Amino acid sequence: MAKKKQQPKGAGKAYISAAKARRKLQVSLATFQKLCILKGIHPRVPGKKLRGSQKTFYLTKDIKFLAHDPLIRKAWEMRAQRRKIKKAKAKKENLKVKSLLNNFPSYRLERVVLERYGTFRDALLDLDDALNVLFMVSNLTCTSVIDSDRIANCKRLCREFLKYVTTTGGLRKVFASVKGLYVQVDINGVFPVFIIPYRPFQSIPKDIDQKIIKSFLEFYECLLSCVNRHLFYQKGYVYPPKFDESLEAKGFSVFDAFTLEWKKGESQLIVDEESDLSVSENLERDKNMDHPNRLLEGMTFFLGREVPIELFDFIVRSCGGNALWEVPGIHDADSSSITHYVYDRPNIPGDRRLDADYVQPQWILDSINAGILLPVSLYLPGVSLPPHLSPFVSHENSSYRPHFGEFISGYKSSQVTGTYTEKVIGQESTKDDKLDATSSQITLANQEEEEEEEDKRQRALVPNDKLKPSSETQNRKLAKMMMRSKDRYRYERIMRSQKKETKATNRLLRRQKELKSSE
Amino acid sequence: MENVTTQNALQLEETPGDSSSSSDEEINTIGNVPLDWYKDLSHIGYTRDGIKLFRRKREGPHPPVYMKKGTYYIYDGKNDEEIALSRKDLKRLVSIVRLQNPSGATESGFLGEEIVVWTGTPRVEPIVSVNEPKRSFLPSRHEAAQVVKLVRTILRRNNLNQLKEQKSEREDLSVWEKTSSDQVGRSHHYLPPPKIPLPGHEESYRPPPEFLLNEEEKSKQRENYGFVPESYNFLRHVPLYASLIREHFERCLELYRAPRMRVRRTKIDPETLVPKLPSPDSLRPFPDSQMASFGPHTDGIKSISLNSSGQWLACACHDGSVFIWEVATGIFRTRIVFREILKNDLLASLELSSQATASEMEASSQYDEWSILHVAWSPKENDFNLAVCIKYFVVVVNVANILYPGEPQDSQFFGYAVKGEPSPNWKDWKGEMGNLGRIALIEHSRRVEHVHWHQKGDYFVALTKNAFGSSVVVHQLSRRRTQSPFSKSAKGVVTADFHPFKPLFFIATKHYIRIYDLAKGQLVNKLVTGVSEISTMSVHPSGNHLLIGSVEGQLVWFDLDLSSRPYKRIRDHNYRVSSIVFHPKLPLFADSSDDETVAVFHATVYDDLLQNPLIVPLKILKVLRNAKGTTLSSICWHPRLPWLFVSGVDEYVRLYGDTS
Repeated sequence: MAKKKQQPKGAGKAYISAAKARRKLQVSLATFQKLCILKGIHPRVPGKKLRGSQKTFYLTKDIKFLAHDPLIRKAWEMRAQRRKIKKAKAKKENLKVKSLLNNFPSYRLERVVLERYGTFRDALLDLDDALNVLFMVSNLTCTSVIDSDRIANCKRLCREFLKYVTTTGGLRKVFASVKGLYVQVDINGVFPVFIIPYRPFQSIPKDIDQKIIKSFLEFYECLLSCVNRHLFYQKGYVYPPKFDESLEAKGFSVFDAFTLEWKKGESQLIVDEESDLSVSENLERDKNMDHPNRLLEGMTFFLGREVPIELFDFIVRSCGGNALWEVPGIHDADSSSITHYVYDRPNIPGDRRLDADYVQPQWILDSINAGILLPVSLYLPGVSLPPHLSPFVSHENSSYRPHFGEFISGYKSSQVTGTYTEKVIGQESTKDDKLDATSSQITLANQEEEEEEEDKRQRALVPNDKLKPSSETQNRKLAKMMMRSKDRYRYERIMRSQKKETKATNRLLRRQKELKSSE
Repeated sequence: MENVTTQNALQLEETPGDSSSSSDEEINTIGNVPLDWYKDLSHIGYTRDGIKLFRRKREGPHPPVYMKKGTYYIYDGKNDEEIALSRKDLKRLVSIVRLQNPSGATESGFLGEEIVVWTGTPRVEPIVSVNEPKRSFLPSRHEAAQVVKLVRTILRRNNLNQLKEQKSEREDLSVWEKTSSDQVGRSHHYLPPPKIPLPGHEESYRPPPEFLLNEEEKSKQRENYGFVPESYNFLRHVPLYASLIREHFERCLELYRAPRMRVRRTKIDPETLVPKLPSPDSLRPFPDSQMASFGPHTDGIKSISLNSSGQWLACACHDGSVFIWEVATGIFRTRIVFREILKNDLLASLELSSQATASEMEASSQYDEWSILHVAWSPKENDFNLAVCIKYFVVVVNVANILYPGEPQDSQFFGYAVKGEPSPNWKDWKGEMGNLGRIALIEHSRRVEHVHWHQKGDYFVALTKNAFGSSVVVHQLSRRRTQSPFSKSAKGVVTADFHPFKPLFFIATKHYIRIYDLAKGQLVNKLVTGVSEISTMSVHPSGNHLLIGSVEGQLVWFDLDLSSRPYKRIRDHNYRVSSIVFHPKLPLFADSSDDETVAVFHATVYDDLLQNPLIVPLKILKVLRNAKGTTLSSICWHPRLPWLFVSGVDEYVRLYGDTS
């Protein structure tokens, strides 16, 4: 009797190697890659070590789903069509080639988007990669793989997205980095961060496989169009919004070139939907949605021609301000409505107006990150600027703090207390006392914090061994001998990372001190 | 008839001069009859009113077309009229003559009606007598197929249009319109990709000055492909960051190509990982500092041993001599040069077997050859038997005479009555040399490395080794007998020892420890150590626990009641553990390593089987090394006190004790 072949169990069953998966799906490597990219299938690390540890493994379930996906049928159809075209070309049947090319199978990815992101929130959580790639591609020059239509489409989608942000005032943080402008926006309580390049790229490095970027792009375009559609739908606008290219060509703002139309009877529908939601959710939504950034409201900025205009137009508008720049015949630098002049050069062109402020672009960025208008005097054109700090770093648990960060927080607290006292003057005495008490508490707390920080810093500067009694370290060293090897590995890893961190902060503190003393 | 055709074909324009005549109404009403009938008559026909129309007078027959004063005329014989031809009419006529399409003529025909070429009597029979095929009576299948194709194309087009309409309707809808927020969109298999780390201050176009690197740091950072912070005075000075494309591309690659795994990162306080042990101070006494040192010796010390009372310390030197010290006073008592004794007196007076003939020994009298590898006192109370491993021999000496010269000598053989015949490798020699007492010389086939006494002082085991193998032999002093417990030469035996009171025997090979029952002569247990190579072994005085040291610097504790697998692994050294010794009475043990340290441990063993042994590291003694590059050779405990003797190759034996 023949021995029954043993079926794989456990990890052997749950995971499938890449080569096996490809054999099962009967597709070429390139198609397999593309399908994986579109469907978001990625290799996994099998929990247990499987035979052939060098291989890449996919989840068998993923591959099974892929085998029944309409996309793979399309892939097969496309392969067949390509063969037909090749044959017809060889026979010089030009008409047939033409008709075959015309009837080349096409596919849409909206279904895939819904499949990958069951809820809108899921899609928003994965949006930063998509936005990064789309903003990059919209700043590329077209190639044989990524054609101009695609780039134009990316540009349109990105602009629509930015338009949405400007209408909701969802800008949260901006950071002018060497790599580009990091932007963090608030969309329905999700905070994607993405990079917008300052200017278009001249060329693509040759060793980069553009086909992979294209495959990702296909999906990301569809994703962002779906997201944009849903965002506009939530607001009750018609999608896609009309875009007047002639206005852009004339030099008007890109965001003015969009015309938003209300959907007929749509506003009512939205209201109904919201009432269906639970109270807590409603509150949450209100919290997120009704906190538009209104920092620059009522201000009009004149952007010098050396400032990246589209970027700063977006930044100013999404904080409630208005931006102008020199467009011959439409508006120039003399408009009386202008409150701030933004110049990125040392000399101010023309006469200086006394009723307006002159700043460098960094003032806008720093003010947005601080959440308060910083003193203009630090950012006058031609003045050596203070350092531009990353808003994504918190120094809560670190002994190092940049001086300018401390200045900003100090300025902020002083402004807050100042406004308090102004308010207090006109009000009753009881409230006055309370506020006084709170403010004094705040100052006390601040002092304590400062002292603690001082302590921390000193501690960080002095090596650990000298502070602690030697017997204790000796005992700990002895106790470490008795650790399990697993624990020892973890312990050593933690200690190594801690050591690295303290080394880096110590270096910063030392440099800070040196610079201060040299001044 | 010709007239009619001409009129149909040509719409002749009327000449302005002939206003009276019109083409619509004919003057002559004779109808369509040959004009020959009126040839001989004076009139040519009748008007509508029946009045004769008279022919105009002219000479000769009238030509059909003629020219008069530059204008062409044609003659209408029926009505006896001249009709002037315009240029256009002429052109038409010319083209008719040339069989060309007259311009302005209707497209219906080239020259109007068809001219019948052939007329004849109709035939009844067909000219060709072939039957018409059946297919000519049936509807064409090819045509039917074509029709079906057309119908399908039309239908498909209709369908496509419908679909397009539907799609355009659908496109207006959002994908997520019907999903609600409580709908779980993702399976538990979904692993979200890790987020890109957010930028720090160093990535700023104007970072704080402390982030900027000097040239040296910059080059180092570039070597490691790290990010080099740069500072610019103006935003417009920031150059194009071309690597952004590559960074995004690499992220894309990671997203679809990198295997993902869920890793749980719990924030743990590293101090919680360190086991909580009682403070060493609460476990005193233990040796923590040097109390005394014995020396100098004539050469490096290979091995030390303390007798059962703890009074006498024997130190085996590299030059083949044994020093005996009194511990309490630190006084040097005697030195026995075994090299000399063996070479000069002993071997000469005894007949020796093949390997160890005197001549051979003389020939190979290298210094190292005569080094004493191991020395051990008999553990029996009031017994002064000293076993010394030198070359191929174990020399057992009773040193009671030397230590206590006044006392009467023991006439018996090492305290035993002589029984039976000795084994052939035993040579008994009553010392005449100096004041040495009785000497027993046991010859082996290989070089002797270790001697371990049984607790009762009668048996001792010797481990012999050479390049080809090793063997374990057991000697019995009272019977002067040697037995080999294993028929085959044991491969790679590292060390062997007796159980303190049971007839059990431990043998350590490279990876395993085998426990034999000597009474039954069978294997009892085999311990799997899991170390790369065992270097030393020690049996706990209770006999229930075993400790081994490994070449990679690990200690492994076995609880023999618990399992044949290790109970605890202790990693305290970075180099080979050279020896481990349990204290005979106190809950202490110590191990020495090649990294010039001696670690002292507390080890309480409980009678209760449920309670695990308590092992606490107490102290690491750093033994200073001298210029020669000392390696620790041997350690040894005092039988009752917490005193540890440590010897090195540096000619001193150090005594560590509890000073606090």
